Amino acid sequence: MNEAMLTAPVALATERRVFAPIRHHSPACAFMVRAAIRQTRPEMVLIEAPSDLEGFVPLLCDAGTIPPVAIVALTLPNAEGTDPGEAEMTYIPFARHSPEFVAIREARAVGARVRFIDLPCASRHDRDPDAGPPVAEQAFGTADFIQAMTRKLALRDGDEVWDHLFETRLGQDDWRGFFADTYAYCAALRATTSVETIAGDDTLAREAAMRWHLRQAGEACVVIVAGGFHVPALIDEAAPATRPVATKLASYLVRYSEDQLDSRSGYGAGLRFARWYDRLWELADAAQGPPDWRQATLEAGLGFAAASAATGRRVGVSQIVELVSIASGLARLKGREAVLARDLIDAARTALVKAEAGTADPYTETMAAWLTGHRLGDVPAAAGQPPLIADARARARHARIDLGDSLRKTRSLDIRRNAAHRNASRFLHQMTLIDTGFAQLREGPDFIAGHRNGLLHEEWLVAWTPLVEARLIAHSGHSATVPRAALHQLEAQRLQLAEDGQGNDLAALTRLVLIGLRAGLARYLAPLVDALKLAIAASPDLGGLAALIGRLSGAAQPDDPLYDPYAPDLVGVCVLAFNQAITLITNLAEAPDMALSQRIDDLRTLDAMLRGPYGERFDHRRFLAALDDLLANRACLPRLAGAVMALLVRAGHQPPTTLATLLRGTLTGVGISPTERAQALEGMIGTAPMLLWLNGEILTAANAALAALDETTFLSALPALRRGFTHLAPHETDRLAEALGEMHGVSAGQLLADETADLALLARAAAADRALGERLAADGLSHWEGT
Amino acid sequence: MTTDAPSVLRQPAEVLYAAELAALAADPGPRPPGWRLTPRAVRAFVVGDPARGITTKFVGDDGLVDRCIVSLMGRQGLMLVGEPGTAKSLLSELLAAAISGTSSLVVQGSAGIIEDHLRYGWNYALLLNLGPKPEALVPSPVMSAMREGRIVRLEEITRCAPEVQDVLISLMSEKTIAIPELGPHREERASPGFNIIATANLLDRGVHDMSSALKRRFNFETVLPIANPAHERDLVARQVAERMAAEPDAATPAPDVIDLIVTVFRDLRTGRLADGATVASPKAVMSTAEAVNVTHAALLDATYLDRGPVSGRHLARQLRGVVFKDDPDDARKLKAYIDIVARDRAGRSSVWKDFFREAQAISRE
Ligand SMILES: Nc1ncnc2c1ncn2[C@@H]1O[C@H](COP(=O)(O)OP(=O)(O)OP(=O)(O)O)[C@@H](O)[C@H]1O
Ligand SMILES: [Mg+2]
Repeated sequence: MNEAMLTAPVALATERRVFAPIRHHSPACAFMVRAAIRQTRPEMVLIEAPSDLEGFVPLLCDAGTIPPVAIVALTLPNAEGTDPGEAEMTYIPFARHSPEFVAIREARAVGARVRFIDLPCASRHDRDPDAGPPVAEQAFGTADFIQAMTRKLALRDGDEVWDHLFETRLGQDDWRGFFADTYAYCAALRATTSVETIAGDDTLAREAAMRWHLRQAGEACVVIVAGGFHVPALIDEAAPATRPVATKLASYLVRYSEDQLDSRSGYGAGLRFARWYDRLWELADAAQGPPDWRQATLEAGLGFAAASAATGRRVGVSQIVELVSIASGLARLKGREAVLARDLIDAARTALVKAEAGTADPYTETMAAWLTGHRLGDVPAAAGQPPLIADARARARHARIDLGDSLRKTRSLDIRRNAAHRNASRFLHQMTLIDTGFAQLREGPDFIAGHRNGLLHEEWLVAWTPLVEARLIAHSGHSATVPRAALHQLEAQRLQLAEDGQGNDLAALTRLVLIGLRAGLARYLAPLVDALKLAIAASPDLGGLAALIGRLSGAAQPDDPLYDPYAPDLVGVCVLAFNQAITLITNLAEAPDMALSQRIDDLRTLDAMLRGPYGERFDHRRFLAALDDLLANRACLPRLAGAVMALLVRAGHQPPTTLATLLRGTLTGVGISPTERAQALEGMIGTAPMLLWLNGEILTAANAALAALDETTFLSALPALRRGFTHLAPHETDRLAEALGEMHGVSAGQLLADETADLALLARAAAADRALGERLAADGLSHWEGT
Repeated sequence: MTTDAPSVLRQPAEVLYAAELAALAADPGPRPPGWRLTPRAVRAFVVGDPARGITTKFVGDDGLVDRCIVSLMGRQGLMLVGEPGTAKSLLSELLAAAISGTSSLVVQGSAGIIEDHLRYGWNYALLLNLGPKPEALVPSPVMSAMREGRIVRLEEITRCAPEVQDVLISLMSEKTIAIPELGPHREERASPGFNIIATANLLDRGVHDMSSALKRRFNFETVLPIANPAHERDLVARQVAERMAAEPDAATPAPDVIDLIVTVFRDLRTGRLADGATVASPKAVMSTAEAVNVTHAALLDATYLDRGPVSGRHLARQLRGVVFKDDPDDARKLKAYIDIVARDRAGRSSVWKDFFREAQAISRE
């Protein structure tokens, strides 16, 4: 696009061609489109919608169709045997106030033919659905022209600028002037969007297809309803036109909801706040002219108050009055009478919040949610069976489940050894996630909590009842396949967590990731994992981070039952958690004594990562530096110091002598008491017991520390020491016994003969052998010695 | 600091920007009763309008300014809350200067404030001489603002005792001050244009809670730290330049020096690095204003002691001295930040390296 296009006078409306440059879901545009069609009575109305969905026109005109509704189109990848879960879904949503919807019905009213002129859905499935709104839509917020307008008009953002310039004209009758202005606006924002950006998605291909349809219209008199961003390219007669190739696809008309309309992504991403614009449309439609803006504002105030009361925050009448007056004041400050969505949201903040608030507060959120709405549309029976049901049936049959009746049947799945069974299990887990009541797991390993992981089989009860179909229909508005629906459910659970104030709960988020892995959704888990990453970055909880690392690093090992090569980089998540944990290590000195054992275990978990199969991905240097720091803190208790020092020695970062010195109680020149020495030993055993047999100097110092204890102290330290030893593998226990034996001149066999578990006791017995004997003798109890 | 220093150092906004205010006063268009400027001109004065030569004074949140202006047009008072150093006082001063032509009707909240400071007092010599006559009455800034239809500013309102806050409640609802000494029905009624801008720092220790009756009479606006790093860098650079205007020997700080100090302050203020990793956030106030102070001090250090341009090491010295002087816990958090974050960045940038080396040397002392 170039300057010339901006300045050259364009003929938007000629005798045979009337261009209506619109924005999706704009009631003002819808009103003008209707007026244009009414007045010009064209033979044909061309609409920017995928041409392979044109068959839906009659259904959209059916009286039983009540927006919000959406056409959902499924384009299956062509390769045989690919998972239908990977089908690309396109939703083409319609609100009552969508210009396209209004155009379709008005065309019918004046007897004009409707043509959908956009690239067929089927040719668009290489578009990345996660890439956000199409360029043609994003430009409304990001183009340089918009930035300049925002500054010039002293408004907040592109949405507000659009509302300010165009939605305020809702219900006026000069549609020619209106479209001349939307055209100028869109041409300017296109001219200030870089050529590379425009070429960044399929915008250009779509426009070539639309031009082709336009040429096909020949000499007929047509109205063209298309996104304003495209119109400059459609008017350009010289530009090449490409005949689009249509392929087959599956598509359905489904119910949609106002909040889904708001989600800003997908095909007709446009204005937000569906309920608000719907109401404005309704008021304008009833008035056959401008809506009663004051009435709309008042209703918003009242509706907001009711919504707020429902969340437990009452809003008094005087506050509603203040809200409405602030909203009107803001509108007037910006030079208009019409109160717009942004004003209402701002006014809620000003009038209601009575405390310090961050960027978000409950009142603005409630107002935004109210403006968005959640009403569901309706479709006539003729719309047919939603794709989700067909998909679930196909998958059930594939899993060899009989759908002929609704009887309960058992199904046993050998999930470890049989790939088909594993896939069936994943399907059943998905159906469980979306709460269809179809399948129920009666027996089997629980990989989420980590119980009975060794079990090889899952025992299921399955039954295909009418209730299952009813549940699937409820999900079909947002998903066309079972994996997608399950995924949607996971996402809903995550949002619920956020709503309950647990959006940063590491354990809960980790659980959702594991559930997703178990249900075979690995390749779609990136958003969930991203949420987990955010929570990690904000986490002050070392224990939670360590637990997460332990759990997810497990699932990243190829021999783990939850391992999936398509999963997001779980080790990367662990690395992130590891780095976050490092920042918390410094605070460990302040950890209450009671929590210390747990914290020492956490350190061991972190250290284990450095030695694991992915060790080189973790930052050794920062970990050790943090430990150094912790050790330097005077508040660091002996038990923690022992644990930390042991890790440093094991990593070769500190010489063994320092640990021996610590155990002997002469570190930093301050003598520590015998009790504290045992605590240092305890700490050391908690993180790196192997040092005892790997290094003679340390073993000697440890022995001395133990020998110096009186009986009561020893007994009270014993459980912790034992706990430390339980982390040892059997061969490690042997090594230790050997080392001890060597030191005391007894064989390892002798030491281990009676009671291997009580190694600590043995160690102590060996060390204090003579002392004990002497005491027994002194007490006249030496005859006990033999027993 | 000498006693007359403040008047030299800091002129009120209406004096400092007299020319801008005069230009804006010429704007046509309706004004709310008692206002010197149109609401749009008030906005332009505060957030700036380069096309008309109006400087930007409050940075970062134009929507907040809109809401404040609209609140002040109504019956509710305006309560600015937020962390220290987020320019609450500055914003209140700018709004008062633009709306009323003066920002000097101020009551500074403290434990010593009594009811009379919000109503009126007496000139006792005159009182003894004349008896209770209007000439002997000494109006408070609040009463003056009522008479003249102007904005009065109440700074740090939560430091006032609850009884004093109660006076404010009746004042806000009646919009009159009774003067029984002058006669049974004598009272001062607020002229149009009167309103109150209060500021409060809710995190301040030892403050009095506001009663809900008082809260109801104010619209609250939270002034947040500047969200956009580029805006904050610009502001710090500009304010440092203003302060250095008096020091001809000082060289303008290089952009990477400003970037370093702003980055350090933002990291520690939010407890979060740009890449999402977290750091322990100190208790010390890490405000933009404090960043300006540190940079200013570093600049003096560099200019007069090192006789060279300011660099990372000067910032490191001042940061330690100014921000972390008292609290050992904060000092530890700074050390952790330096050892982990600054060390990492030192490998990639020479200012950071300079900063890191000096900071580490200091922390070993
Ligand atoms: N957003 C901003 N725009 C302009 N200046 C700012 C901004 N944020 C901070 N400053 C600078 O910080 C200085 C401190 O502001 P001010 O004293 O008004 O803060 P405050 O919020 O009243 O603090 P306190 O709570 O300590 O009273 C301002 O004079 C200004 O130099
Ligand atoms: Mg202040």
